[in-house]
Amino acid sequence: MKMNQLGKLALSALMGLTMLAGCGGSDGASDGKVIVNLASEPPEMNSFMNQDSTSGNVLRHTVEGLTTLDSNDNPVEGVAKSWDISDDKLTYTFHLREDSVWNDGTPVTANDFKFAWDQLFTTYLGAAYGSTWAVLIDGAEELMAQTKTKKDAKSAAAKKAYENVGYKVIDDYTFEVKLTGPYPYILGTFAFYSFAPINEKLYNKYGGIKHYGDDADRMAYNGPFVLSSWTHEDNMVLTKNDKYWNKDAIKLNEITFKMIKDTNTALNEFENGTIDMIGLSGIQASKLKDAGKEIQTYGDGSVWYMEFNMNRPGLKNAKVRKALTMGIDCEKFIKTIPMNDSQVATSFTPPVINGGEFTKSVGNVWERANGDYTNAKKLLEEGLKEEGIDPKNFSIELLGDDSDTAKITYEFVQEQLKTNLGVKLEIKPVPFKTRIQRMNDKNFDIVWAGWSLDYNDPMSYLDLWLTGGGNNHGGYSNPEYDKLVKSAYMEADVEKRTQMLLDAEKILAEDCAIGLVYWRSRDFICSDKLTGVQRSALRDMDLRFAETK
Amino acid sequence: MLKYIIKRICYALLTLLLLIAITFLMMHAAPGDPFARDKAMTPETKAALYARYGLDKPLWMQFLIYVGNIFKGDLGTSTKYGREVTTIIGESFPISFELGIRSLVISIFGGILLGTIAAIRRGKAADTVAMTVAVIGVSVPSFIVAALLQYFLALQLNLKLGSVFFPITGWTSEMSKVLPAFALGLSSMATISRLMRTSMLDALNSDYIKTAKAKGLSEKRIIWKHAVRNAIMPVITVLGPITASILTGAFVVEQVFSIPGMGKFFVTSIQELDYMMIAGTTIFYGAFLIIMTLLVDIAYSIVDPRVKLANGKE
Repeated sequence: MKMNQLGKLALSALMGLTMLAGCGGSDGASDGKVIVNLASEPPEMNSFMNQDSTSGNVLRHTVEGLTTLDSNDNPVEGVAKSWDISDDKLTYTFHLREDSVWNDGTPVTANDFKFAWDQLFTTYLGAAYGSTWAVLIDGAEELMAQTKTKKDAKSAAAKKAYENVGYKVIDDYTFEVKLTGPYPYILGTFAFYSFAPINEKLYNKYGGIKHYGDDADRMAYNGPFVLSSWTHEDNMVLTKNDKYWNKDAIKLNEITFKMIKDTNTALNEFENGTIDMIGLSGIQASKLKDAGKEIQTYGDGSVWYMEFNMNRPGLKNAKVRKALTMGIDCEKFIKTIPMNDSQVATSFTPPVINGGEFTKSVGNVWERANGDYTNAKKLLEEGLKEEGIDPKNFSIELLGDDSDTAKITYEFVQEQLKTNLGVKLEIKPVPFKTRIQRMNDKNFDIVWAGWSLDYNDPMSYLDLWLTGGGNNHGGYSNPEYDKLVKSAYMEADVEKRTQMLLDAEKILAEDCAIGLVYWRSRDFICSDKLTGVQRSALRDMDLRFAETK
Repeated sequence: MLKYIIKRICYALLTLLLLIAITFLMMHAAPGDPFARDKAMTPETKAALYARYGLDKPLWMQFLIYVGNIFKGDLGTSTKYGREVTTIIGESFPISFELGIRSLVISIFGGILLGTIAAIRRGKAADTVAMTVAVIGVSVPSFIVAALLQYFLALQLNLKLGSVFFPITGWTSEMSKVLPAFALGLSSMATISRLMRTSMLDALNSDYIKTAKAKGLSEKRIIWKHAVRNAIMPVITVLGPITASILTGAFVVEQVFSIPGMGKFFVTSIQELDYMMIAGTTIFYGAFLIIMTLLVDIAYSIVDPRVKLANGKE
């Protein structure tokens, strides 16, 4: 064989290795079928155990609670066709529809709610949201106290707690719930997947706490879609549930959730026409906008800030905290880091709550430098002097996550504080779990943190800063603030309650309890074929009422 | 040879036990809580989760239970996904393995071919091209190769053709497996080709090749029968480490092509502090690599009869 023949052989061998037969790909949206990017594997599909938004995005389509949320995030009828509210707003009686059934045809009854809620408030099962919701429901905290271990849960005291807890089966289609306070947001809260029903028989059949929700054939569905297949780490296929009571309102026949984590890969799929909806990074969104594509945006409900450790030198002084907050040009931050429609925060409660009315009422109570840092520098100098710290020796550490985006964020803050205030900021990026550990141990000066809502009310944000709260890592404490928030918990008069929370917002700004930065928005793009997708802070991804052209 | 293999298996088991012990100690020493999340959890809920996964027991007891369970084929339950580690490995490893094998085939055959051509055509255009490919392969990280292949050979080609030729993601059709395998195998192909070139040049300058030429053997026979067979020995030596790097280094390529392989679990379980997943994947890969190294040693003796495994003499 001559050498040029050898070369040809090499080339053809390499081609042969790469050019193998077969051709894949999908058609994108057609016949009511859509493919959207979920971005990652849902870690927990057992509704009462769930705590993450990825699984929540799937559960929203497969299970339905007493209520559900409409396109404005208002609670509307779900499994409950109507409800009565007592005059003191403490007792809700839900009348369940008789045409709501599980995918095997079994009717959804009040017993399914009682069973699911019992699991949620049985401490030893470990539902992360149990303690969050237990405070709302009469007797639920007692139930949690009596069920700390498996053994406890079988005791006479636990049995009594299960019987006396504030939710009761009146009959198969009547479910009564007694609350601990007149919570105006409670109907929306019952739409949350923690409160979704679970059929005990099917739950045990599919493996109970160990396996329920592990696979497509290991859970029951009463929502508009059923999970017909789940290829782990790759995709989930949801098909329309013909047994769903409101099936006529559902236009899509099939939703495929892909789990493409890499945003560039997802964009390639979108441009290839093989996926109908993807989330976008700020850079991607701005490039697509420049190319004339229609980008959709929604406020995801998260507020981002610097949490100060009140026990660290200098940081217990409100003037220092205020100076550091003013030291960041938030508008420049948004143009540089998220690069989208995120907004400079003017209150801790973002405008996604109650249609933005509350945020509007708070007004702009956070002082910003607006390019003139004279006042911020003066405040810093005064504050440090009061604390007996030489400004030249003032150096602090910013703790945060170690992702690439997070690191760019901290570098921006570092540069801003150095340029605008002359403050030396050390950056300490660590893995997520380590950051949480250090926050819990109060082992930080400043931590870059975010908070998002659990329910549609300012309280979902404002009770964060109560003295001794589990998420109040910096140790902020103001008795006046505590009094206002705690009074608001029990206040039935909506106007009075709103005023209390507005006053609490003002105290937070006056004390500069945190270094408030921005409210985050997220961008996404849909193919021309897919319309009617709804995304909001409470419904991250909602395709229940979407359709294809 | 049987005696040698039994001895090696005993050593392997001991190594594995040590690996389990070290992994166990190190993962528990890592700062953080496996159940940590943004929103605080009550101590009671956290205690319940610790009890559910058996993490409430003393470390030595957890270790003994874990080792005992391994013999029953149970690698524990993932704290992140709540599913058995063996199930997750069972689903994801065959994919990573297939990707690895395809990459190995590309890197071995491609590397040997490129190296051989470069040696035979030393100093000529083919040599320059082959070695340029090798330098690119060694110096450009696989995630860049993967992203470039995906963008140009999948997206742009598909847009030009108006139909899907190479799918952008997934691991379903044969075509979907081509680009990931190539992206993962390129670096090793480059390493092998450089090694093969050097080794081949040595072989071509050897006396026995001159003798073969003097005997009037054909060039084809000289190259493939005599030169390549001797030059290939160093390549076989590096196959062990290359196999290890391909099989454990698939994380990035799997992520770019969204392939549901095991690479993700191997890497992210550490960030997630998913104890059972960290231990399970480490032990699984550890065992796999020990077996692979043993197989390479046996292969070595078959290719070169001078290597005697039983007494270690050459």
